Amino acid sequence: MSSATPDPGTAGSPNTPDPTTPLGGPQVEEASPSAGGVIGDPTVADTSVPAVRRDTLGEGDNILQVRDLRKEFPITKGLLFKRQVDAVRAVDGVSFDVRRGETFGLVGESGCGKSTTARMICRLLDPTSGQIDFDGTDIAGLSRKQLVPFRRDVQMVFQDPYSSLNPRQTIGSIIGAPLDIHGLAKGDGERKRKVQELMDLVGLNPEHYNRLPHEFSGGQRQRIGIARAIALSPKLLIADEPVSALDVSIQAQILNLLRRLQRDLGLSLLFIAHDLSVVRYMCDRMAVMYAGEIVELATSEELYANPSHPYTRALLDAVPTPDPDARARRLAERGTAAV
Amino acid sequence: MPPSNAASAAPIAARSPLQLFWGRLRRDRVAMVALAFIGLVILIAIFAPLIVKAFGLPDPNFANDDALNDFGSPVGPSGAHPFGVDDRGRDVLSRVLYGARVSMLVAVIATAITMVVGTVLGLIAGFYRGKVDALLSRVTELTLAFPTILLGIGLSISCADGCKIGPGSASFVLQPGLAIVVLVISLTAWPYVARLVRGQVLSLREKEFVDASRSLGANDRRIIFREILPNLTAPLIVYATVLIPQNILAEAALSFLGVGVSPSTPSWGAMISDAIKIFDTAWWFMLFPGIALLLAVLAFNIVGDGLQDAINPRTGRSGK
Repeated sequence: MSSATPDPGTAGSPNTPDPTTPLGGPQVEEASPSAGGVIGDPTVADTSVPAVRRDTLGEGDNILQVRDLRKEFPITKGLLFKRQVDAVRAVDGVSFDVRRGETFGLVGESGCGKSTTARMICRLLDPTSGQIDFDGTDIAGLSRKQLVPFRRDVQMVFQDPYSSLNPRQTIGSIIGAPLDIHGLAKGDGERKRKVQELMDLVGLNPEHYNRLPHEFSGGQRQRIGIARAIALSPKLLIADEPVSALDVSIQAQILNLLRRLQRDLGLSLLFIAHDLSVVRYMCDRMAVMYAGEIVELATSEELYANPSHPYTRALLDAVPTPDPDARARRLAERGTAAV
Repeated sequence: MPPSNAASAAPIAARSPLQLFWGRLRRDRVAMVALAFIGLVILIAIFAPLIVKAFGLPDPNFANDDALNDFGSPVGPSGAHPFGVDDRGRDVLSRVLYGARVSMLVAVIATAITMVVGTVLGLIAGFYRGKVDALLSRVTELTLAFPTILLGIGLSISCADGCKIGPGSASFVLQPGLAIVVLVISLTAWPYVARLVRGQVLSLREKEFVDASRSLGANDRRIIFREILPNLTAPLIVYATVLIPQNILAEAALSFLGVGVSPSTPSWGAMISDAIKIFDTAWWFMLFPGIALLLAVLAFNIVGDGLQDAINPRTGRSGK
């Protein structure tokens, strides 16, 4: 398994510029299975196996605290007078913290609610209930106008590098849009200079300022999306499956770019993915989501070494391994087969 | 990849999207010929009186009895009248040149009104959805069910002596003629534009770049005008170039039926209508306005195709 995935020792060490946040140490100590328990979440009782959590909510220096976040999409009936007959619970009582300067991973299969969670945190969707504390302010109930200053601090990198860039705008106006909206560049000259700095920072040729998105490859487009997201110097960057639409060879470049930017700019990163090897490479801590709930939350190392929830084990066992013998051994050691 | 590009790409000058678009359009020779022809028609429409004078042609409404033969039938093309004369001895070439004025005026004004009304209503319906959309969509369907020709005939008959429109001092009197033609065409053509725009907006507003703009803190106005509207320019320009020939034909049809422009105004449709009575003896009377109408409509359609290819190079016929 270690032959297939990047160096597992990276978790926790290089991405944390802030020394006041101890990442590896204390959580690993209290991570014995008996210490992990259900954290005040009544809905967890629905699942046969309780959620496993190896840290306590609210400890450490948190930039983001999500508490009991829920999103229900109503199912309506009737043509003229719509009445709600039921609701899909896409996110069902999710709670987690993102520490300042860390990379927090959110993993799960398609449709488990991880993207919905991300879209609620940057308020593209309105939560049905729950709290989103960003830097001490609950932003879950803020109106669109009240949200404007907060937009500068939380930015998102989108999954699809093709539909996330307006095909009719030049790269210059795409990356310059956040500067325009928040009035951060006076005059065209300053705007162009700032945009070209950003392009250089993410590894794009600043000469391509006037080009249109369709003249770029997928990887370059994702760099454009990243440049737009960091234009406002956000504190928290949400990356919603930023590499799942890219070639494997390009994935590594984009992941390394995100890590470099995180280190250089002191970003906190909420990283969403379904590919466990990617998350393991990127994240200090991670949460596993299943059917709208978090079933396990631990440091990346701990989660890989000792997965407690059956769904986490199934997810880990599904990671492809080039060596069939190693895969058989791994399954035998765990005493499980893929569910 | 970008780092290695940096050195080699430096001397390449950046080209604006408009330059790229123009470059692609220029390569389409048929469209360029059609565009040149449209330019010519527009120039003729503007300078019709000067051109008529320069060629020494009679005024379009000058009925010259000498141009009719002994039996009162019009004479065919000759040196004095290159396109012949009509049943009242009026010069056909002169009338065809003046006819371009009516066609262009109706086409441009009616198309502009139609596009603006349709785009605004379609944008509102598609962007805000819900009850606004339901209401606007019903109004659209109601308007679609309106018969253009009957509306034109009805309006021009009931307004034969002028209709007062609007309240009090802000009112204006609607006279039969050009104003009614433009009104009828605009009233009945906008629903197609509104439907087209609404459908596009419904799909565009779900794109991730709209989400991205919203998460940057953009307001509705910025999203509508900066993110969505630029993506509508291609279908709108294409639809406008389809609509212009349709409106030229609609004007011709209304004039043909006698409810368009006033009888003395030279209009291609009205000329064809007049020519029907003497078609078997005076073929030139119907042929020349017919050719003018055909060429103008054809040119707009070809340019519309060319524009579509130039705006969407990846979906073009030549697969560039």
